[in-house]
Amino acid sequence: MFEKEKLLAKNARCTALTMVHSAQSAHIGSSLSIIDIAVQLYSKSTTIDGSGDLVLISKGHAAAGVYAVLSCLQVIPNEWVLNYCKNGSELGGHVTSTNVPILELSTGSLGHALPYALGRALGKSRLQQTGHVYVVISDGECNEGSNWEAALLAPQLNLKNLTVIIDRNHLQSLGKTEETIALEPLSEKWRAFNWEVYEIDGHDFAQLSRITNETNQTKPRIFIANTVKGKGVSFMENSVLWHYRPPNSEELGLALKELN
Amino acid sequence: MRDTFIRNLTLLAKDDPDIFLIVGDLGYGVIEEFATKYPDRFLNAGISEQNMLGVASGLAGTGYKVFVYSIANFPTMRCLEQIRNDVAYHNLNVTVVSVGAGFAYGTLGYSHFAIEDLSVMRVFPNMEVYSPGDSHELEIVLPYLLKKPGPKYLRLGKNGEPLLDGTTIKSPETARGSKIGSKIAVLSTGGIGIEVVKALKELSIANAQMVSHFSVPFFSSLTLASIELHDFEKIITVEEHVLDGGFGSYILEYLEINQLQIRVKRIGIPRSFNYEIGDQGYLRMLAGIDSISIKKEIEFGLGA
Repeated sequence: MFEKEKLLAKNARCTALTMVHSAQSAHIGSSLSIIDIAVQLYSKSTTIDGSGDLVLISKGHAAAGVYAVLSCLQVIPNEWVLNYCKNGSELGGHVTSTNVPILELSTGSLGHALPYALGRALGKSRLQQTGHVYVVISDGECNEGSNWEAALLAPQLNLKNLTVIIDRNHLQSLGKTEETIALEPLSEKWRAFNWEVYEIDGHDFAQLSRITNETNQTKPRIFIANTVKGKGVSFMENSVLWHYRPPNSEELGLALKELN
Repeated sequence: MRDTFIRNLTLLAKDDPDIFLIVGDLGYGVIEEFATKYPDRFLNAGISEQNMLGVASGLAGTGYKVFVYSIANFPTMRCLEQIRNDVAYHNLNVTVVSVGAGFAYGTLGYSHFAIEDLSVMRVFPNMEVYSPGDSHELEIVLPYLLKKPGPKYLRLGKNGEPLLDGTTIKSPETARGSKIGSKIAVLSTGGIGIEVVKALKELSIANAQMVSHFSVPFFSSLTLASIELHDFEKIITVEEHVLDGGFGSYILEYLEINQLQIRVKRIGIPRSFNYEIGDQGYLRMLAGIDSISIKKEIEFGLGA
């Protein structure tokens, strides 16, 4: 089951690792964390064929992961990925829509895409346009007040075409989310804000498929996708170090070997 | 200006189905007509400016021409990064409208003074800055900016401001005023222009004939070029805004870009906190931007 998605995700992980190694750039942990979610959204929603779905990535620092998925889906050319973060190249270290229009919103500062998503979902609904708006935020990003402003407003607007996915990897920049600004009970918080809340395993495609399959919403919906930062590479998993550190050649070799 | 804004926007919305108005829980007694006539193109985003600007960006991304209406610093400083990253960077059709330029909210105090907004808003690429001097200028500005696709900042006075005078402009690309004397050009932006008008009336007839006053509703080189500044010996700029980075600074930059050497005196608010309480007239007087201060500066410039 889900062999196609699993293969896509594995290839994207290898691509992201290679990109970050080659660029000696940061955020591989976040990229590995988001990849299965990104595979689900970009391969199963109708974003790419232009029939109206929209995927927004609020955690712009997971750019390598997102670009890797888009490259594996042949939305962006492989050469761009190879030049990631090089001077004069098409793709930089945060999600940017300039050369990749389907990303629509360039991010990098946290707490921006959910409010934007509300505007897009509201606009679509007022204009009776088809298509769903998906927005991926990080758990650390839930520190940002703007997200809670949006969380308050979305149910008020009765947005049935808006779905948030939290990449719940339990780590933020300097440590565990629960030791920084505790988010739990996170589901209850969103439920209290009058959202439909589901907890899923963010690396299990059987569960991830619910995000794009079950669109019969009666109000704004959120999937808290439990993930592992650095997922797929044992020595990167659940480690703050890999929020920053790029793998050296030896580490890249080990990581690719493990994934394959 | 507030009522003029809403009245005209409501009129324009009749023929332009893309106009969308968002308010930040403000506009009691002002916005009801728009909200009633066009409920599908109206939203009260509540007291949440960051989210409001994000939502505005998303609506603009969907194709709407979005007007975000609030007062003082709330739709600018409180959500500045949303303006920078979402609106300006993505070149979205969002017009940030702030009511209460300068000291318009007077006794409500510093939290309600919009006196650093011009400096802040004019630094963003793509952002156009409009600062009409009275409701006539606003009526010319509104249909003009509606044709512009990108981000805009519209700085408005409060309400009941007098017309600067009986003169008119046809486009914000032209400064309002005509050349009378060529010794001094007094350039003002926004409602403070009325203090210049008062100052000019207090001058002796001989002095008044050496001075020209222009109100600048739009921070654009076209508008400034319409004044032909090279014809003047001295420029005095007047703004209800801190001197640093504001209108006077904009004029200095314009002169540098065009390599024009003309003496300049800037009249604006000193960059220091004023803890005094008072109405707009009182605060203008304390800041040295009232008609008396302006008159003195003109007379000094004339060597009178």
